[in-house]
Amino acid sequence: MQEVDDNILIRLNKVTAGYGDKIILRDIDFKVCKGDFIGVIGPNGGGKTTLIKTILGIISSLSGSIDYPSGIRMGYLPQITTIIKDFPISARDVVCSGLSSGNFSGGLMSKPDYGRAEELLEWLSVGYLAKYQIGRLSGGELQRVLLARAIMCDPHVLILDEPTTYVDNKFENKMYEILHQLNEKVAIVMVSHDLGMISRHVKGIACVNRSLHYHNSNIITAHQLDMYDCPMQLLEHGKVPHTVLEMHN
Amino acid sequence: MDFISDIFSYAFLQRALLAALVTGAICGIMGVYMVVRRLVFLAGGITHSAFGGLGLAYFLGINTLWGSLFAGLASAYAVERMTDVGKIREDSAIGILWSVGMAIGIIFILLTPGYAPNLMSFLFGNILMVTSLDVCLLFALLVVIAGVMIVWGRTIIYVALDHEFAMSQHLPVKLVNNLMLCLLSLSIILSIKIVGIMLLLSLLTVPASIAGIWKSDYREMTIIAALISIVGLVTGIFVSYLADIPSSAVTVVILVLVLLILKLICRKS
Ligand SMILES: Nc1ncnc2c1ncn2[C@@H]1O[C@H](COP(=O)(O)OP(=O)(O)OP(=O)(O)O)[C@@H](O)[C@H]1O
Ligand SMILES: [Mg+2]
Repeated sequence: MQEVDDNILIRLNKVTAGYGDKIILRDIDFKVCKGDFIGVIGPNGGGKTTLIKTILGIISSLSGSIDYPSGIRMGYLPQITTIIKDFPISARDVVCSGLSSGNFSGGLMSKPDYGRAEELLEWLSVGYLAKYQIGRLSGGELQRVLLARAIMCDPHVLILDEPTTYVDNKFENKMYEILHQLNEKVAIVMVSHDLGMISRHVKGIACVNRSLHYHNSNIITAHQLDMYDCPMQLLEHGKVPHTVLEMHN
Repeated sequence: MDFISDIFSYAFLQRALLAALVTGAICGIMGVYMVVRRLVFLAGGITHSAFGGLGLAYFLGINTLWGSLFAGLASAYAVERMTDVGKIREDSAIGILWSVGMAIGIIFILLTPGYAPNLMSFLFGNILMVTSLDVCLLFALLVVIAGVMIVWGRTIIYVALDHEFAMSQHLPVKLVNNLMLCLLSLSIILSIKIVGIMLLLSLLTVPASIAGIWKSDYREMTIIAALISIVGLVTGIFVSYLADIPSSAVTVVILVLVLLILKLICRKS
């Protein structure tokens, strides 16, 4: 059932991914279409981050192919950032670095779009951080700046790896609101362990545990999770989301 | 003052000042890059490995510049291969090349018939003895480095800032890293003549550290570091001209004192 439509933004064909000769994911077929909001779930070590890094080209796939239209812009919020914290750079400049895949001049003389960067920070309620050196931010503040960096390029696809890890409850809810708003124009792929939140917000669920099963609905039963070899039990608690509180700071 | 009038009458002084200007700018730009990328130890490894090639060239009677050029670039490449393919920790690989370079260098210099009067100038440099060729090469390198920074500076900064994110945005991470490593190696090797192997690392690190006291913007840090290196080198020439001591040693001591004093002042305020 090869669909030929330009709705497809990213398509993985029989992709095998891993590190060196250590295979983590085998024969993955997966696609992201316009308007999608896909929740990626799975146990720790199941390969969610590996999947995302492979899609983004941070690690190269061992076999299979990944297709996307040329010129596609992808925003990325990593689970664990590799940013150098004591780098001499301000938060708004970090946000501007998100432009690098879009219309962007790599020269030193060009002025980055500080206006838009500051607008984004303001939107994420951290406008006051614009001129802070990046190492002086708290975990949650940094997470918001990195979210702004991901959105900066006006992406076609926004890929978020556990975006709520460092942020407080209040901002977590705001973040989902923001994602909803963005989703009107942007396809979103979001890794999360919070099944309650996932089922409330997403349109489809990808279960990743060394293989990938796509579930084209936001409601998933324990039995289905079992079938997908994706051991997660949160939904058995019923509809009330069982929010896992992360302790930080 | 004698020094000023001597500048106009002695070509070697003019060359030395020119070299100070250009080397200072190079070390300022590449020093900041090296410091923020945490490549100080790697730079030390390249510097000392270059001594091996330098010794060999001295033994063979060819221009030592070519020997150190080859050995410096080869060692940068070797570190990468040793870690990637040989699965040796990077700092161990650097440590090995560091001492092997020194060992090979000293063996060949001592094997060379006759007294080895140049050993001191290899180790501590001598800016008063730079040739026109040295100055031309340094100038050419500065033009390349400045050009690269102006055309690709933002890309280079973003790749250095966060390499995984840069890869996700399809920036040429590998290419940029290799290019910058090449430029760093070349800067080191061409500066050996000026400040010598033993003192080169501080010329790369201290101005960047001083600049980092005030500035938290990469570009501003670069400009300030370059100015500081230039002032340090020129002061070194001046003092060494008066007192007949190695200018590089003077430069290093002055720069470190400035760093120390500024750190103390900034701590109080
Ligand atoms: N750089 C690496 N080199 C080798 N193996 C790795 C590397 N990174 C991850 N792995 C392995 O790949 C497997 C999948 O890791 P991955 O980070 O994709 O899991 P995940 O699903 O994102 O887990 P989590 O929920 O904990 O974030 C793990 O078993 C891990 O040990
Ligand atoms: Mg992960």
